[in-house]
Amino acid sequence: MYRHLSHFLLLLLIIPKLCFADNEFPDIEYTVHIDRTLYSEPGYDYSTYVTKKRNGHKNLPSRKWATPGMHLQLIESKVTEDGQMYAHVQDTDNPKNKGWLKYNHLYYYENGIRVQCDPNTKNQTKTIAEIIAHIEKNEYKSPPLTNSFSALGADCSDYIDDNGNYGDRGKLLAKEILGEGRSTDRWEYFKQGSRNLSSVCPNFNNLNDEEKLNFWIWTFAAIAWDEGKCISNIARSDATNGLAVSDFQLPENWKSGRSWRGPGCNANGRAPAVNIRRRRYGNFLMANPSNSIPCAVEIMSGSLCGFYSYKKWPLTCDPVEKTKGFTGKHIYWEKMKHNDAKFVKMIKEFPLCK
Amino acid sequence: MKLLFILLVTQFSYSEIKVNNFNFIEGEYQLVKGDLPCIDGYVGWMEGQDSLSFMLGFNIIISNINEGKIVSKDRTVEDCKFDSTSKISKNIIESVENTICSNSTIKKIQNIKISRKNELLYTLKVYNDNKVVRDTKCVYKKQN
Repeated sequence: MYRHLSHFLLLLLIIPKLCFADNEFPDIEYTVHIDRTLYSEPGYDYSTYVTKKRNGHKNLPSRKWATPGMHLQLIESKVTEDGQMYAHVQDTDNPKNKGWLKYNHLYYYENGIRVQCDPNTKNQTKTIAEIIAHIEKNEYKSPPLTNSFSALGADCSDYIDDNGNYGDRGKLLAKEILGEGRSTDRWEYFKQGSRNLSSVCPNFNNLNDEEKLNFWIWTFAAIAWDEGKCISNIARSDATNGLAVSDFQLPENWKSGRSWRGPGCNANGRAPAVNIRRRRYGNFLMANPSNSIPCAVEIMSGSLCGFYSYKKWPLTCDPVEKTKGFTGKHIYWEKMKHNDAKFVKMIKEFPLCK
Repeated sequence: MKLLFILLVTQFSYSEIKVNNFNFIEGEYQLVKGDLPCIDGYVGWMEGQDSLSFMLGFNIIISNINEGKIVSKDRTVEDCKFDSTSKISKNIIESVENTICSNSTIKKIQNIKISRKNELLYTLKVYNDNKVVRDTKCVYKKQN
């Protein structure tokens, strides 16, 4: 029994992602399922191998070591002269087995969904690391917020300041949106947007990834203005479903409000809150931006990925339901249910949307 | 082994509660009458939670069903106490929550019933020191 348990634990350790293992992406063990047995040298694809074999080539590399379902670890990757990317991989169960496989013949599993390794994704992942490094060094710029964000005495500069730099909350948001924080990694869904996003931001599909990140931080700042005038620790007891806290007006109640939404809504560390008159009003988990921001991102990404899919429990991302869109009945923020809200107007002010 | 036994007994008792005391069809429901906090959405048991919990759209969740009076351990607001009691009986889920602050008591009573047409009927009454400050009724119909 203990042996089975140890095998199970070993599998749990092996299963996690991903496909990259250079300096920026240290060796990560991952599960790879291969469509077919491949070859073992860069520059050789399957058809080349077969051709060479048919021609009686004597120095053919072994192509029998990799079998479907094998657990592989990436050692390095190379791009050949013809632009093909290859991965040098090693069998984690038998390290003697190693060789080169074509990059896009590798797969890993994320949240139970098979994802094909893609050289472009590798580049994209590097960009995420670069973006985060730039953000940390205050080298990353966004269009500065418009005057709407300072209406009614609000100060939203902790998201994006007058010079287009991210403030502390902006940086935290960026990490969460990029999938490098506590919330579920749904950066792909943020990049895809949703069906009716084009009515709010007509140019969204033409934005590059960095511009899309800017757009989403701008959008969260707009929600924060609309829901709580960017006051990170505001608390209201008269919300739709009990106590709502932070400028995203998130449920403080764990069981009914947050426990089922995803890891971003787990929380630690209370912070002092204020009521709408700015008077001291208890200590709440969601009054702490390090809790409220991951939860807000978890909820928004859930809306984009179809998590609030209505059909059955447990709730999961549903590729069909995600077409329900950027605004609509499934959205958490009440004002976002209606496309004519003030915050929609503020989002439209994002300069690159036009 | 003991743990397995307890788990099986717990699962059995949950199933029994569902079958005997609240017969409805899990899935997507549409709000046909009423307003906030009622919204369209998933209606069903939230399995995997650490207590028996029921979701009626994403805004209404009743937890700790049939566990007696639950008193909040954490004081989230100074000088306030919070307790709740939820139960199922005769096809009705009922929840009563009390928030008692220094000089006032807010009582929130929620009921979920199944009508003869298999619609779900939700009522919410909020009292502030025995005075009704909110009275909401909603009707949900199963989506096909």
